[in-house]
Amino acid sequence: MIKLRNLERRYPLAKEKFFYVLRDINIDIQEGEFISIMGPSGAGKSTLLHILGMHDHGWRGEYFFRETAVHHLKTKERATLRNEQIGFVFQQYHLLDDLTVYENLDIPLSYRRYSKSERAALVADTLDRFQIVGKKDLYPRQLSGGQQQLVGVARAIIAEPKLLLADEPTGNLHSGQGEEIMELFRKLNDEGMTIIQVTHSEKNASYGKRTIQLRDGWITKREQ
Amino acid sequence: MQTFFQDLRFGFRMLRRSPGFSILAILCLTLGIGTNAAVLSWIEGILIRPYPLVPHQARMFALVGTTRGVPGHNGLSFPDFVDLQKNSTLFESFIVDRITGTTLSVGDRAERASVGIVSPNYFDALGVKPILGRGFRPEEGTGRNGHPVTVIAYRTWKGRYNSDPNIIGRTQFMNGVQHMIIGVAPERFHGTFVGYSFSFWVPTSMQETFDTTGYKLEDRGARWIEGYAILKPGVSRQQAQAQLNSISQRLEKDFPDSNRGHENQLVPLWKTPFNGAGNMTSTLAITMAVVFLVLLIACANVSNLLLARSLLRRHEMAMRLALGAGRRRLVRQLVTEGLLLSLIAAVGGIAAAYWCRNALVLAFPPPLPGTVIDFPGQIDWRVLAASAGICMASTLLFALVPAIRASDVDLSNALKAEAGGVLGGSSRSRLRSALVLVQVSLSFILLAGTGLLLQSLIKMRSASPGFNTNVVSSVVDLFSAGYKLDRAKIFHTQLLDRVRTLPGVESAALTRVIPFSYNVFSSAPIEVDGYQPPPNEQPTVEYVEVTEDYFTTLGIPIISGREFMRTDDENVPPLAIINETMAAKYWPGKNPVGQRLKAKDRWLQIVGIARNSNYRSKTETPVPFFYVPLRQNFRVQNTLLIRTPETPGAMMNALAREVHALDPNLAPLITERLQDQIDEISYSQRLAVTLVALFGAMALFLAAIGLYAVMSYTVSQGIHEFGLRMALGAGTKDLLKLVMSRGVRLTATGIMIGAAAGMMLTRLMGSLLYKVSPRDPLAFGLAFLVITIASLAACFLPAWRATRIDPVRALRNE
Repeated sequence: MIKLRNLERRYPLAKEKFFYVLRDINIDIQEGEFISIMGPSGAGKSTLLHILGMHDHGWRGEYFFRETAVHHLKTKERATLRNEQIGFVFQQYHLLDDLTVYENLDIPLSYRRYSKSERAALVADTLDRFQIVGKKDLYPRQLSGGQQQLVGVARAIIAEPKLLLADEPTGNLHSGQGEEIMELFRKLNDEGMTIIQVTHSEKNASYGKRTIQLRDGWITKREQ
Repeated sequence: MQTFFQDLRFGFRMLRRSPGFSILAILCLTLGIGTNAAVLSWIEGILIRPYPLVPHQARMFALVGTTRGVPGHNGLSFPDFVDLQKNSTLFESFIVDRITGTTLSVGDRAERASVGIVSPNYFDALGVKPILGRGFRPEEGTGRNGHPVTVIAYRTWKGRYNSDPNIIGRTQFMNGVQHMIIGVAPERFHGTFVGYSFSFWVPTSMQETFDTTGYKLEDRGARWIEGYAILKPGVSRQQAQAQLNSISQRLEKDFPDSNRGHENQLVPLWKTPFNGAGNMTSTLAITMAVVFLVLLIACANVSNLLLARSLLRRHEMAMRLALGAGRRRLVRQLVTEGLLLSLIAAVGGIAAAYWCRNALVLAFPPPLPGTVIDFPGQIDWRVLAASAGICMASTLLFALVPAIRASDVDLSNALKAEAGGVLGGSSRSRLRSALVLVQVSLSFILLAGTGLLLQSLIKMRSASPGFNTNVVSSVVDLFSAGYKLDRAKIFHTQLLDRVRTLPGVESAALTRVIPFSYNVFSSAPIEVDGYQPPPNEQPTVEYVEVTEDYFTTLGIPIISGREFMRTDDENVPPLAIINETMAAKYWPGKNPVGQRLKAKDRWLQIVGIARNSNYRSKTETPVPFFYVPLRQNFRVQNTLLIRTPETPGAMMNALAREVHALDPNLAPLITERLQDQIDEISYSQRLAVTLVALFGAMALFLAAIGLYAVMSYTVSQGIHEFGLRMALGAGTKDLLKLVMSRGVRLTATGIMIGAAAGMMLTRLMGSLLYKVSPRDPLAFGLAFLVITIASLAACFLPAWRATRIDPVRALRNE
C-alpha cells in the first residue's frame, strides 16, 4: 500500500547547512497492516506521520501510495488523494469546538461529494456504530476526553478511508479510556483498515502487528 | 446554496460566541454603511428625485434663463412660458412656480405662510393628484386676479384645518383676498422648491395679489418665475435643448427689446440653481466623499479585528483543511461570515439612515415664521440597492484578505500537538500595520479637510461683505394690509422720519431688497452712452431701489460723486449710483459721474460710484450693479434698515410703537441683523463644516480603535518578551518606550502618507473654501496635532498594560 524510498525531511540552518528531521527512510507497508511508530521525542515520528498523511510537502525522496507516485503529485492532487484515502486521529482530538458531535461528524462529508441525505445516513450509522447517538447534540466541551477521542476516531473513519493515521491517540487519556480506543483500533484493523500509529507506549504498540523505531531521524529497528 | 446556508448558520454561531468582537465589528460597519446610506438618501431625496410623488423625474429638467455675455442665471417670463408651451413638440409639458410669502387672516390675527404661485397645469403635469378636491383648471391661470382659488398642503390641512373632510369650498383670506380652497395635496408632496415646503398653491392669475412689484403676466421682460420642463418619452435632452434654442431664437427675433440675448437652458434637477438643490450639490458631493473614507476606515478596522481573530481560529482552520476543506472553501466560509456582519450592519445602518433622513434640517437656522425647511432624505429601492452594493463591496474589502490569510495554514506545523505555529505570522503583522497606516492617513485627510472648511467658515464669517452687517432690518407688510402706492409712500416716509429720531438710531434708510436675501433684485437690459456691446449680446444689469442715507446706513463708501438725497424724487430727472465694477466695465478709464445709462426706457444720470459690496454671497465674483432712488421708483413693500447699537429685540419694541402710532392695525414683521440673514443664506458652508467635522470625528474614533487594537494585540503577543525584559531589569519607562515607539512610528508614517494624499485631495474642495489655501499649514498642523494626541492615547493603555505584567507568570506560562 505504501512504499517510501530514500525519504528525507530537512530544514535549512545556515548557508548550505541543514537540520535533518528524517533521513533515508525506506518503508513498505501492506494493506491491512497495523503499524506502530515509536521513538524518543524529536525522533521524527510525527513528521513521518504527517508526511504519510500528506500534510507535509517539504520532503525529498519517493513516496508511493497504492501505486500512485505521491512525490510527483501537486499539492492540490495530494489533498484530493488524502481526502479520499486517509483518515487522521490526533492526540488532542482536534474537534471543532463550535460544532456539535453530529456536525463534527458531518463536516468531513460536507467537504466531499456527498448529498445531504447520504451524509445524514452515514452520520446516523456512525453514531450508532460508536454508540454515541445520545451525544449527537452535545458540544465537545460537554464530553469527557475519552468520548471526545471516540468522536475523533469516528470522524476519521466516517468517509471510509483506506488508511487511518493516529498521532498519540491515547496520549491525553487515562488508561481505561486508552484501552477502549486501542480496542477500537484493533477492531477496525480486523475489519481490514490499515492503521499507522505513533506512540510512546509499549502497551499500545503491542496492539500493532509491526513496530518501526526511529531515533534522530533514522530508522533504527523494525520489529515484527 | 446548501453550503452557503451551512456557513451562514455557523457564522451566526461564531458571532454569538464572541459578542465583544461581533458588537465592535458591527458597530464599525454600521457607522460606515449607515453614513453612506444616509448621505445617499439625502442625495436621492434632495438632488436626484426630490419630488417623491412625481413619476418620470428622469424626464424632468429645470428651465434656466440666461443672458448672453452675462454671468449667472435668471428666470422665465410668463409670456415666454406660454410661447414655449405653444410652440414645442418634444416636451410633454412646462410648468412654472414662484415661491413667495403670504399673510393669512385667521380671525383677528395674521399669520405668515409660504405660497407657490404656479401655472394651472402644475398638478396635472407633475402627475400629483390631490387627495381631496381638484387641482387648477386651465382657465384659472389667466385673467388678472380673476380666480382666487387655492390648493392647500397636506400639512396645512392637518395642522390648520384639523384634517376637516369638508374643507373643499371653504375660504381663506390670503393677502386680504378671500380664496376658495379647491383641493388638498397628498401628504408627501411639498411642492417643487427644493428646501422649502409650500403651505398653499395659487394659480398664476393671482400673481398681482402676492407679488409686491406689480402685474407681470403680460410683461415679457419680467423674468420672475422658475420653470421646469418634462420631456416626452424617448426624447433626449440634446434634442429638447435644440428645439428650445430654436424657440428662444424665434422669440428673440420677434421681441428684440425684451428677449435680445435671452436663452433657455435645460438643467438636470440636481443642478437647479434657483432652489436649495444647487446649493447642496457641492456640500453633498464632499460629504459623500467623506463618508466613503469613513467606510474605508471602518473596513480597515474590521479587517484588523478579523486578522486578530484568525489567529485564535487557526486551530479550527487547520482542522477544516485536514478534514478535507479546500482553501477556496474556507475563504468562502470566512467571507460568508463577513457578509453576515455586513448584512446586520447594513440593516442597522439603513435603520439609522431612515432615522436621520430629516437630520439635515437641524443644521439650518430657525426658519422665518410661516416657512418650513424641508431637506428630506429618501430611502427607496435605489438607495437600498446602492446600500446593498456598498454592503457587498465592503464585505469583499474587509473580509477577503483576512480570509485568504486565515486559510493560509501549514497543516503539518499546525496539527502537531506541541506547535502553535502558523506560518505567515510576520506577514500578518505587516498587513495589520498597513491597515492602521490606511486608517491614520485617511483620518488625517478628513481632519485636514475639516480644518480647512472650519477656517473657511471662520474667515467667511469675519470677512466684510462690503457693508455693515450689524444693521437691523425690518419689514412692515403694507402689501398684505391692502396699502396702495400713494398711501404706502406716505406711511414709509413718516415711518422713516420717526425712526430717525428714535434714541440710539444713527441712521435709517429704505430699500426694496436687502442684500443676501431670497428676494430677487430688479434687473433690466441697459444701454450706455458710448458703449457698444458685442453683437447678439444684451447687457443686463441688476439694480435695487434705495432711499437717501442707504450708503451711510450700510457703511458703503461713495468713492466718487454723491449719495442719494431726500430730494431725489419724481420731481428731478432719474438718477443712478453705480458700483466700481460697472464703472470699470462700461466707462473704462473715464469718470462715469455725470454720464448716462438707459434702463426700462429711461435715461438715468449717474451721480455717484459706490464701493463694490456683496449682494448674494461672500464668494461671488464682483458684478456690475447699480442703485436708483426709491423715491423715483416707489413700491408698496420695502425693508427698513436701521444703523443702531441697540439689539434687534429692543429696536423691535421701539419700532412697533412707531408703526402702531401711524396705523394701529400694523406691526413690524421681522427684525433681525443683516448678519442673521447672511448666516441663513450661507447654510451650505456651515452644513458642509458640520457634516465633515461630524464624520471626521467618527473617522478619528474608528482609527483610534484600530490603533488601540493593534497595540493591544502586539502587547498580548509579546508577554513573554516583556516578562523576560523585566526579569533582566527593564523598568516601567523602558517598556512604555518600547511599546509606544512602535505606535508612534505607525502614526508618523500614516501622517506622512495622509499629508501627501491630503495635499492632492483637498484641492478638490476649492469651491467650498473661502480665502483659505487647500494646503493651509494651520489646518494640516491641527490635523497632525489631533491625530498624534489620539494615537498616543490609543497606544498608552496597551503600553501601560505591558508594564503591569508579572515576569514570573509570563515566563512560566510560556
